[in-house]
Amino acid sequence: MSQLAQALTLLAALAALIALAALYLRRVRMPRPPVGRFVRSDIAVMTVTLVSMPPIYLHLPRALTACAFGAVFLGACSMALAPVVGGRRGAAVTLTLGAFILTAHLAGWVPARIAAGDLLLALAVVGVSNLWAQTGMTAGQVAALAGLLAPYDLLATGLTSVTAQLVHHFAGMPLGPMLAVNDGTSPIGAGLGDCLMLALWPLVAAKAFGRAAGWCGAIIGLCVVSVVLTGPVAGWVHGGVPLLTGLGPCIVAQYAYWRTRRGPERRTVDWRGTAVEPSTDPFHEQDVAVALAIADQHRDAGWLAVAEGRAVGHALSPGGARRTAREAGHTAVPVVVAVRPHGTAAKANTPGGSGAGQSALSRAVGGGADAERIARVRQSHTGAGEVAAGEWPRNLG
Amino acid sequence: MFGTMIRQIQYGAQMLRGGRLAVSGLQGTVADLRATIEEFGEPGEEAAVMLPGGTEPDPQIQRTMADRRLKLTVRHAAAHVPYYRHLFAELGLNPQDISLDTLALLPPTPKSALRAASSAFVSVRSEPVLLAQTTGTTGIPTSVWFSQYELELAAALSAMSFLMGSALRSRHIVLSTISSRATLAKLTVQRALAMVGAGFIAMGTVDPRIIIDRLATPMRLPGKEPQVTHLIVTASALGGLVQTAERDGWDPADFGLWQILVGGEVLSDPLRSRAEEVFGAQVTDTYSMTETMPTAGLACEEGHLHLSAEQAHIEVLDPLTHTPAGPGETGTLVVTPYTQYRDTTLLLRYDTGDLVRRLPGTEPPTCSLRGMPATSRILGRNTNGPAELTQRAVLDRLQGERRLPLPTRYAVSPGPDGPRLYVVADRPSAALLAHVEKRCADLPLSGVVLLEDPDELPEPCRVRADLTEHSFELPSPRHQPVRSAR
Ligand SMILES: [Zn+2]
Repeated sequence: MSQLAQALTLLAALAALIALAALYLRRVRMPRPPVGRFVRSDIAVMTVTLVSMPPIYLHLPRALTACAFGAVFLGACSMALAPVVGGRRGAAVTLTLGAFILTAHLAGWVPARIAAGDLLLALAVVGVSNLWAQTGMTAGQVAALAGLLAPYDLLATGLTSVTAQLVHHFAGMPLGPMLAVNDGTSPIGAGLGDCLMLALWPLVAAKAFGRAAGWCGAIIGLCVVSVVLTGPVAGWVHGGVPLLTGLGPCIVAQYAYWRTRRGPERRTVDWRGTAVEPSTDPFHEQDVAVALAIADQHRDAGWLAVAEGRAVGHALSPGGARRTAREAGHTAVPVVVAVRPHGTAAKANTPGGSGAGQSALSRAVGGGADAERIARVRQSHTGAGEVAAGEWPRNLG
Repeated sequence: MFGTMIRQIQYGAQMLRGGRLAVSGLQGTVADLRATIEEFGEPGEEAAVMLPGGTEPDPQIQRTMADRRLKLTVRHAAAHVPYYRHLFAELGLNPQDISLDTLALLPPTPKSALRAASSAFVSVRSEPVLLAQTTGTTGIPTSVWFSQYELELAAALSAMSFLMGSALRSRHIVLSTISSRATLAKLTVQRALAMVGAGFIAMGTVDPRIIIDRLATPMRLPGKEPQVTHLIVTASALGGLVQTAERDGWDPADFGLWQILVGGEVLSDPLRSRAEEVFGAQVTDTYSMTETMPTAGLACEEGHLHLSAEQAHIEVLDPLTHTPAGPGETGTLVVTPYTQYRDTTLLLRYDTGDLVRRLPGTEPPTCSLRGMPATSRILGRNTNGPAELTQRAVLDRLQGERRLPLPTRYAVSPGPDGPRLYVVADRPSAALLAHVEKRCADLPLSGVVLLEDPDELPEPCRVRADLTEHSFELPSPRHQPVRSAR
């Protein structure tokens, strides 16, 4: 296969991988641990692990690394398949795939081994990226991870030979951490980290900011891959090209764009549309301060229920005011405020009246609650209606 | 994720060891749980395994764990608690000999001992910081000292069960009408709700009219429901609320109540359904007491009381012989709280005096809380009267009669030809008496007497609703504001 054909195959494979991960996110709900979600410290742990592992692989025997990767991939693959086809069938499919890869490797069927290995890796990436996205990994966290991995990839792939050594180390190995389109003879291929970031970002972007952000993330990711592949295809570059160094800043930039445009990220519960909080304001935007001003205009002492800018209920107790409003057919929850005795509110409104003056006044009449009682007495003195002690909450104005 | 995992592994290890729990770790788990719920709307699948009763543990493992925790508790108490130091010496018992199988060698601790000398039960190794006195209706209060460790632990456990068991969220507002002097209950609930982020209103046991009015009052608060969503109340005070709401014609639509958590007293089935009807909220029956904190019990949909076996060793003993009650038999709850949760006031085989009936048969229950040991709900206090005349039996019959006032006041007194039931009624009449007699026909009574005045009862009927606290909110004839205005 020519370099160009290899590059196009890789691009198509990555596009399929991203599409599969996105489809999986829409269709499949993965089980979550009872307690726990992705937090910032998890990103730190992941970064440290990703950065420190490659040098360790180089010092381990190839067979051992192959076994370790195999175990991880097979585990991730069966995890991804379990919610779709059931736990037992998922494990069976995974083991069959693993056995086929091993057989193909031993029998020397190189193209079959590469294709099956890529399928296993793709399923594992779909599982892991979805696990992260569905356990609450935020777009901000992925952007942070991408920002941290970009300079690392530049260092490992672009400036030093760590990645090149790894590619050499894993060349021809079954169950290697590469989405390969050849047997390791050409630098065209995508590492496990590259695949994960490419698949993960559209998922979290769609979850946090909507489908448009997800589509943008997928397209921009594939564009970055195309640009990076131009190097080896055109023969300008002969070693590996650090894909994450290009992809990282693009992800960070997209995050900054959507964050300023769309505001805070949606939580998983908002994205799934299962939030139980009343989405509409039960008070229909009735402001409490406005309600107080309305109550200050009211003649009778007691409590006033205010909704939609007007008094809808009046009683001698706050609960009673709400009840009269309900009995009068007002379904919205009213704001309930006390009608202040005449004088206290007016004083505060006069130009000369300061806050201190008002509090001195309420001290003079013995505090808010007492003032209210006196007001009620005055009312009964003037014959506006005696309040029987036992009837307090029943007397509904 | 990693932090949560590490905390859970630590917690598991501490539980297995049986030693002190790291309170900060537990508080961290509560925070993790809250973050999880805020992100996803609910805890993950299988979250119930974290709650007592969520799993059906292997009986053998459970037994081994109980034995280990019990041994630690007995040794700690025998070494550091004056009362038990003395008791072990007097009985010539070696604390090392006491295990799950030989626990019967140790006599139950009567309530009277704790009442008489609460400090004799305080471990000399402890740092007591809070004295919680029960607001019991039987006379001398029971005093229990607590340490900061116990208080923080109880709050964290309580927060966990609020979040998982009661599905309490930060948007909820909880109103408690428990007596303001019930320090422990108030403090623990406040701390736990603060961890959950929910609102808390401690009203105390004020006039039911004030409580109902407050339940109906809209509150415009950021991120909160517009009205009180959860009510914590004793059964007798709930009776007062139900009566007031029924009499004054309140409608469920006036409230925003979701759940009423009842504790402290026997909650009868008719009172529960009357409360559900008038408040439009789910009523949950709970069991807890200051002395055995943080052990808590919950009534399930099948009418069992399930007690958590993780925090205490629980026995049902015959009130007289102190031998284990058999299936279907009645006995008192005898509780040994484990030192893992309690380090100050230590109690071994504490006789709560609360009667329950063991479930008949050997078949385990099939309800939602089947992982937790189950008994009948509390039948009432252990008295000398006939076994069938439990408080629950009487209340189940009286509280279905809507013409009788709530909270129900009654007394059972021996008559010449058998026990007589004296019931307080607002307007005793022959018709009402006939109704009450018909309801109580299956009880071993020689007669029913209706009285108008509670003072005429042959013995006083005290309920927790009587711990009324004064409030100026309600104009009362004795505080006529007319005079102060003149
Ligand atoms: Zn049950």
